[in-house]
Amino acid sequence: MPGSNWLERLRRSKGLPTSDLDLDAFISSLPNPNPNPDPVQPPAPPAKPGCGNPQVFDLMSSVLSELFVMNAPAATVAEKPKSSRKQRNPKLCSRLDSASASGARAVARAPATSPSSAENSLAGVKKGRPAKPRRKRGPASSDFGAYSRTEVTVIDTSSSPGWKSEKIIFSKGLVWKVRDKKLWNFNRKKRKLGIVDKLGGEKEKEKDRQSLGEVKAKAQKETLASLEEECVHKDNCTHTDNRDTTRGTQDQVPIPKKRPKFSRSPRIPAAKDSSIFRIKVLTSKKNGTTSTKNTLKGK
Amino acid sequence: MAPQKKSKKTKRKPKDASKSNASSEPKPSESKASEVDWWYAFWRKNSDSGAAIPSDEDEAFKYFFRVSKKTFDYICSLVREDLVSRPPSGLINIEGRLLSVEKQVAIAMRRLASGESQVSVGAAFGVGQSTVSQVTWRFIESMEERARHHLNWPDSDRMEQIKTNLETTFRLPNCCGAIDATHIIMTLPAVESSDDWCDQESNYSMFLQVIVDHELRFLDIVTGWPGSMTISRLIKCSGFYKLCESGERLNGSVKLSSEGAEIREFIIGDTAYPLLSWLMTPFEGKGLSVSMTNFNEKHKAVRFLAGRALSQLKGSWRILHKVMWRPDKHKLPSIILVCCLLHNIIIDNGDELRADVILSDHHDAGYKEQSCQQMDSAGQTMRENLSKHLQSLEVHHFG
Repeated sequence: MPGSNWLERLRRSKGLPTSDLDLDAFISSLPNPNPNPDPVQPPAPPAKPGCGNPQVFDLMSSVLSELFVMNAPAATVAEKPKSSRKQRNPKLCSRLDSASASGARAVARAPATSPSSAENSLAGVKKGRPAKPRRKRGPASSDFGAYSRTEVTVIDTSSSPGWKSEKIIFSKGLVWKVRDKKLWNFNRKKRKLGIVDKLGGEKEKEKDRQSLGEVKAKAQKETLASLEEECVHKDNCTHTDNRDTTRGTQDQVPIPKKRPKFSRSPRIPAAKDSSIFRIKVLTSKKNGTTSTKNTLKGK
Repeated sequence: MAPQKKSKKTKRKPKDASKSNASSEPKPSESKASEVDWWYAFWRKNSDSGAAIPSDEDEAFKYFFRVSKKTFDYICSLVREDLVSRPPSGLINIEGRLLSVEKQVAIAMRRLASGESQVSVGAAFGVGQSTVSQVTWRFIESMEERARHHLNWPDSDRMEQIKTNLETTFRLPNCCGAIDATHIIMTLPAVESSDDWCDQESNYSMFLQVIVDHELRFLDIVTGWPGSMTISRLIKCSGFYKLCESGERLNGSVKLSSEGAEIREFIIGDTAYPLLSWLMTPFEGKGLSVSMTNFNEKHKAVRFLAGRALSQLKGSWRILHKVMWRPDKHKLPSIILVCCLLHNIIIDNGDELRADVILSDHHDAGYKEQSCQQMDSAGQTMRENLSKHLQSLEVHHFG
């Protein structure tokens, strides 16, 4: 029988008797199950199911000696430094102990506890996973928007009416789209007014710009589609931009300003205005990591 | 310049204000004598801070502030209204007296000129870092408004002067100046490490594009655009480009070449710029004809004006030459603009820069020249006409 050949070979290689092996007897004589069976060690340790306590004691004393300065157990720690550092498989051990101690009922309980413990042990990964797809979803969704977004303040002495203007750059590889930012930073305006007297007319203009900006922001998709084409050109320049346009850009627009727009206009794909999307991603990322941390701590 | 913290915006009130009889009573301002004395106090304190500091007083003043005392007073007059310290909001000195306008201007200009940290500039003047920060920003905001008349596109009379000068020196008729761009390098906060600001040499930078005349004066500037742009895109985003394309700029009288061909107003730019009817770039490639080579030589000489102006700018106002530590990218353009305004003020007031101020190397050292292959047919025709014109002048000259 070919099956017996490999089994025999395996047994031989592990130093076990190749024939007349009573499996039940063998299993019951097995010491504390070890995931890393040593070919020589298994028969050697005299530990039997009932000998769990000394191990626990060793474990505890070594843990305590790690935590506190304890002179006496130092010797034992020195003898078994490795066993003190790591629990080789504590849950599996307890299950076996209980199984051997209280029979079928405990065995029945064991599967009940083991999945939950398995869940716990995997929780870090499982709960971490929602974060990962989200992280992956970032670039995928920003492909949807696909433009990297940068806000800049430009001073141009040939621009009218004022030299200073705020622009938003949407870039994707060689395609750059530039449009005026209509919303103004209140703080900066206020501050400027405090130092250099501004013309009253400029204030009104800014108010007009704000209202215009709101209207335009609602129709952002259309705006994007009809962005100034003058800046959308394929450069014949030998200097090429190979930048990944999907990576995050800084967005200095205050979040509260943007959020209402997002909620008010759900049909407008937020990723077009990637800032909104990225903010969301960031928070979800954060949640993901914190939950992971929690589960790890819980474990 | 480090971004100004809003929390530091709180105005310093004299702590003993309640103790004084009348809180509205003006805080003792630095007396007339000390308004002049700030310089002597500063000079005394810093005269041995560097080996290169001249012993001559006027030269030492220029060493620290790049301008003559006369020009310094002019700058103070521009911003006085905005900077004059009025209690209770006025900035106070370490002695508890209000900072004079002169001292504020000196602090701000020293910060721009040296590019040293706010702490060390503050130490040189006996004020704290936050005072340097506030004073510098107040100065910049004020200058942005009060000195803008020093940077305007020239009117037709002035443009005629410029064109005549350039034609006399370089034999290029209707040439209105040269265009060039430089990177202002900075660091970004780790959270903001956006590659939109990352330029071709992997620095985070902001562009400054200038058009200069024969006196190295800036006629037009654009700044604030990220360094990741190509220069050809930078110009296309500029107001100057739009005005030129719509015929609202460089639209002066057309001249005729020696061969009777039309030559319109134009500026000179390097190979990073596209060849347009109003923007002449050099001929590229091997096997250029004599007329082409001749044109390129003249072209290079005019272009050198722009490069030199930028070297002068970055040399004078070292804050632009050093790597800026996490600047507020919305404020940085203002700092750059004010440095350009100061550059023009120096020229307009007839000051001569100290020879050691100008950068010894290229203003954009470490940056490879970009090459834009874009050519406009009208630009090609213009360039041909110009090179033929130069060639015929050569023939006349030697013939």
